[in-house]
Amino acid sequence: MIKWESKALDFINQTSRWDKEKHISSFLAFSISLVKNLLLADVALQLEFENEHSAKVKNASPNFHNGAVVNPDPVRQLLYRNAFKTIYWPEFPADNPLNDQLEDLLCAVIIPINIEPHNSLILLGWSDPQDFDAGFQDCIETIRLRLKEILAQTQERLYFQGIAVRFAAILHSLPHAVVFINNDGYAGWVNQKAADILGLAGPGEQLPAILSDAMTHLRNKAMNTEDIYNTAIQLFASPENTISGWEWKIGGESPKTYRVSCLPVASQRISGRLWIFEE
Amino acid sequence: MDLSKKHNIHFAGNPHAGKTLVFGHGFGVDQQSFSQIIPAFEQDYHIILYDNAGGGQADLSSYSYERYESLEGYVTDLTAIMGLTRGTPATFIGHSVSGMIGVMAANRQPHLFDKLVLIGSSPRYLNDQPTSYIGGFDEVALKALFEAMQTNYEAWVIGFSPQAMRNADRPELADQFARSLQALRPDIALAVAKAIFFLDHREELPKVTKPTLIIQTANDIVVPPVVSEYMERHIPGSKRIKINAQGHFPQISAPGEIIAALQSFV
Repeated sequence: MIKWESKALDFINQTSRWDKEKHISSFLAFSISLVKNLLLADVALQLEFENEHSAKVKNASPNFHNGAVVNPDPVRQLLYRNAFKTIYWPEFPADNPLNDQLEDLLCAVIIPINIEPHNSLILLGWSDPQDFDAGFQDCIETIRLRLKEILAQTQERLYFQGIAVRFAAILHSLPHAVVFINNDGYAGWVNQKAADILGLAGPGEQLPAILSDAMTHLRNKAMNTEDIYNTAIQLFASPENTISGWEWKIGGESPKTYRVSCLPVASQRISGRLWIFEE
Repeated sequence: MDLSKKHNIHFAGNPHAGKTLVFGHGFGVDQQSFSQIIPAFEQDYHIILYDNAGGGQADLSSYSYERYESLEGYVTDLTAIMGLTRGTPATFIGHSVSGMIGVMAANRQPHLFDKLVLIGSSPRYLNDQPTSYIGGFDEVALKALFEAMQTNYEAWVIGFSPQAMRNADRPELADQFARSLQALRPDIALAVAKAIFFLDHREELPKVTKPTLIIQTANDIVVPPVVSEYMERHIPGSKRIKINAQGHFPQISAPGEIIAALQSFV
């Protein structure tokens, strides 16, 4: 097998075997570092276009490049002029907008990676002359496609993690206990207050079976179990039924009365029931 | 965006002079803070003044939280501004955070810089116990500072201005600084303050290769004397002087002292 084909395949294989238990943010850094090692580059980095005013160096090796801010317009113009194709610089042009990143280097490859919401480029640099022949360029194009997948996967995962963190923070801050039971039978979710009331180990994702058991246990501690049971039969007669102001009078050492609401949640992607316990 | 418009750049002094001075202002003030200094150098120097992003009359639409979440965005800006010096290296006079911006830019692009003057600058404001570094602030103090800025910016301005300016016998100076702070958008002021007070660029100091003058005042609430002593120890060949001035803004409160210090160095 030709040397460059082997390197491209090696890149695909190694990135496919990346340990998914690790935090997603390290996936791109690992991949960029791998490209650098496979192609024997001296510098490899990502330049992310954060917005119209900012492009920032990330996932760099050597890492002292990280955090540097580059004016995005001249770099964007460079990419436009080259129709967003990979740019091969056996030597640097005079009006090089990546001068700081290419200091002490002789030649470079700039790989545009266009994905929403933030486009990036990957910069590879060498301090000795390189022959960017057809085989090398094919290798780079294969790596480019895989890098695009990795970057898209990374951004998507970080986006969803951000949403999860935000909504969890909001739901955990509510003064009420919130329980969501998905109709699919595989997923449920409780906030901290609900975990406390139901005697669960902690907040977050829970199996619906565990939630059902915990709620049955709570109901059985009630002094008005019979009323609760009868109301529940009416409530579950139809999946569209809603209830609010439903009293659960809990006995024991510290008696409490919860005003319970239960409403269906039905959207394109998810259906289930939301339970809210107000003390 | 045109660089001149983005940073409200003004050229002053003698355009035919062989030497150029570039003045960078600190947090909460703008290029006007050097207005009493400039006349003393107009005859013999070409002078460049500008406003940092988010401050003074800099173009607000160019401000980006991402770009300016650390000093790197400001460093890139200063590098571009220093490029206006017609090919000859210039002396950069940086007040407060601009001093460190100047240090970093000079380390990245040394050919643009002749000398550095750092007025009330610090490489790190937060104390660092493991390295026995004293920056003047602990985490509790910074948390309280940011909370005060966030919850009631106007009240924070009224309290902070006289503490930073000192010179209680001339209350108009603190009032002037308060007006300057009030002119900032509070969200940008908070973002800039966080970028400043959480910075740690101590590793930049030993890399400085340019002659450097460190100016220290008395009773500077932002930069205690131990910080300027630290800078002197770590910037190779630097010179530190204590001037007869109080507070964090000697270019406003004691311009004569600053002029004399600059004349002895540039």
